[in-house]
Amino acid sequence: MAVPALRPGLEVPEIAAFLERHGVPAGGRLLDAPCGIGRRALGLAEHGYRVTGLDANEIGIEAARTRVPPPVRERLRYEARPREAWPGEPGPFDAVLCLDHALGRGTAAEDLGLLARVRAAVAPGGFLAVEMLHRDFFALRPKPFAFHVVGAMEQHEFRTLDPITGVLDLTWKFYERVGEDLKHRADSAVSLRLLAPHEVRGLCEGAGWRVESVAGGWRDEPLKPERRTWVLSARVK
Amino acid sequence: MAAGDWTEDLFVRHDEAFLAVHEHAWAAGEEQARDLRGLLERFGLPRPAMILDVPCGIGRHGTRLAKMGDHVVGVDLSPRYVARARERAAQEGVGDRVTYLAGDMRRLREALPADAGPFDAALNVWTSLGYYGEAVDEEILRGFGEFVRPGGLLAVYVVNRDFVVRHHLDQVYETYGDVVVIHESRLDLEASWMRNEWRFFRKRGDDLNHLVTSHPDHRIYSLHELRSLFERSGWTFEAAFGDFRGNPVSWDTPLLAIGRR
Repeated sequence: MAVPALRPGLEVPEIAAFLERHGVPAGGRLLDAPCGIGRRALGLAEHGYRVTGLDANEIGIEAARTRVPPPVRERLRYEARPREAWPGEPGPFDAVLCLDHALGRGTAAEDLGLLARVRAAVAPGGFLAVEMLHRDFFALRPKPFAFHVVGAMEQHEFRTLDPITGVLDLTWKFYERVGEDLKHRADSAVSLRLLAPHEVRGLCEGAGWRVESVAGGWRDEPLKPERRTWVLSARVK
Repeated sequence: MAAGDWTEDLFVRHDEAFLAVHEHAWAAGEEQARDLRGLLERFGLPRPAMILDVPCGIGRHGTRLAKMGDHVVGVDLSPRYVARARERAAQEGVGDRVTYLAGDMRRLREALPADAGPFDAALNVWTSLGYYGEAVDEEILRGFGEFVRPGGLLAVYVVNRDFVVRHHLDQVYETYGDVVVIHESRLDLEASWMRNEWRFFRKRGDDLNHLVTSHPDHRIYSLHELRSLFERSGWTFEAAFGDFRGNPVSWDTPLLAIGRR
C-alpha cells in the first residue's frame, strides 16, 4: 500500500509571510529545529525555501523522509539528531526557526547552548524566530483537562501548571472508541518550562542575538494573554 | 426533545451514574447544612424548623438538618436517590424526622401528602433550577410558596451566569470513585443557557466503560434575573450571598439567594 504523501502544516502561509516581512524571502535557507514530523518544513519548501528539518525523534524523521512528494525533494532535507548535537549542519542558514516551544525543555544552560550553536550556523544578518507556549495564557484561565477526537481515537490531555517552577506538565492518555466505550491504548507525557518573554529575550541576547520583536503571533499581533503561543524574532548581533 | 427531558433519563432511567456524584458530595453536606442553617437563622428561621428540601437527592442537606433537630420533607425525581436518602437518614438515626418522597418538583401538590406543611423554609440547592426553562422555574418557585407559611423563607443556590462567563471551561474531567465524567459544554449567551454533554464511564483497569451520555442543558441566571424571578413568583427578595457561609456575592461566586414569603 502506498504511503500517503506528507501534507504541509496549516500555519505555513502565515509563517512564510512573517519571514518575508522580516527580510527572509522565499529561496532563503532555513533551519527548522525541532521540525516534529516535518509538515511545516514541507510547506515552507513548497513555498520556495530551502529547508533543513531537524528533530530528535528518529521515527518521525524516517516517516517524513519517505513521504516527501517528489517536486520539493531537492529543497528539503530531514535529519534525526539529538538536541545537544543541533545544528550539526554546515549552513550557513538565512534563518533559524525554533518553534513548538523549542526552549524550556531542558535547563537554561541547554537553551543558551542551543541558541549559541544555531547562531554560529547562520549567515551574517541571519534571522531567528522562536515560538513558545504563553505562560500568561495558561495562568489566565487554568484548564486542567481537554479532550480531542481524531477518527476513532480519543486523546485526553491533563494539564498542571506549577506557578512556583513555571513547569507545565502535560499527560496524554490515548483511547480507541469502541462503541461508546474507551479502550486504553497508550500514554505519553511531557514537562515544559513556560518562559516569560523577558526570559527568552535574555537567553537570546546572552547567546549573541539582538531581539527585534516580541509578538502575539505570526501576524505580528500585540502580545496578549488570550493567545496560546507567542513569537520572538532576533537577528545576529 | 423538550427542555429538561434529560432529567428523567439521568436521574431515573440511568440513576446509578449520578448516584456516584451524590455519594461523593455527601461528606461536604454536613458543613454546608450547618452553614446554611446559620445563615437562615439571621433571617429568623426558628429552631427546630419545618423544612422542605426539593430536590433532595440522597438527603445530604436534609438529613443533616434533621440531625440538628429540624423536621424535613424532601422530594426528588429519582426513586433510587429517595430510597438512598431514607437509608442514609436511618443510618444517621433521624429516620423519624425526615420524610423523603419520589416526585416531580414541577408538581409538588402531587408529590406531597395533603397535610404537608406549612414549612418555615424551602430549599432548592445545587443548581436544581433552570432545567426546564424560565417559565417553569417561575411555576416551581410559586409552587414552593404554596407550602411555606407567610413570612417563611426560600433559599435557592445556583450557578451564577457571571461566574460562568468568567470561568467557563468547555471540557472538564471528574472522577467520583470509579466513575469518570467527561463534560463538554458550550455557553449559549444569547439564550443564557448552558448546553452540556456529560459522558459517564466506569473505570475498568485503564479502560473507560460507558454508562450513559446525558445532555443536561439548563438556563443560567445572573443575580438580577434571579431576583426578578423571585418577585414574579411571589417571593420578596431578601438578600444574596456567594456561599452557604454568607460571604458576599460577586461575579466570581455562585448565587445563594434568600427570599421571604
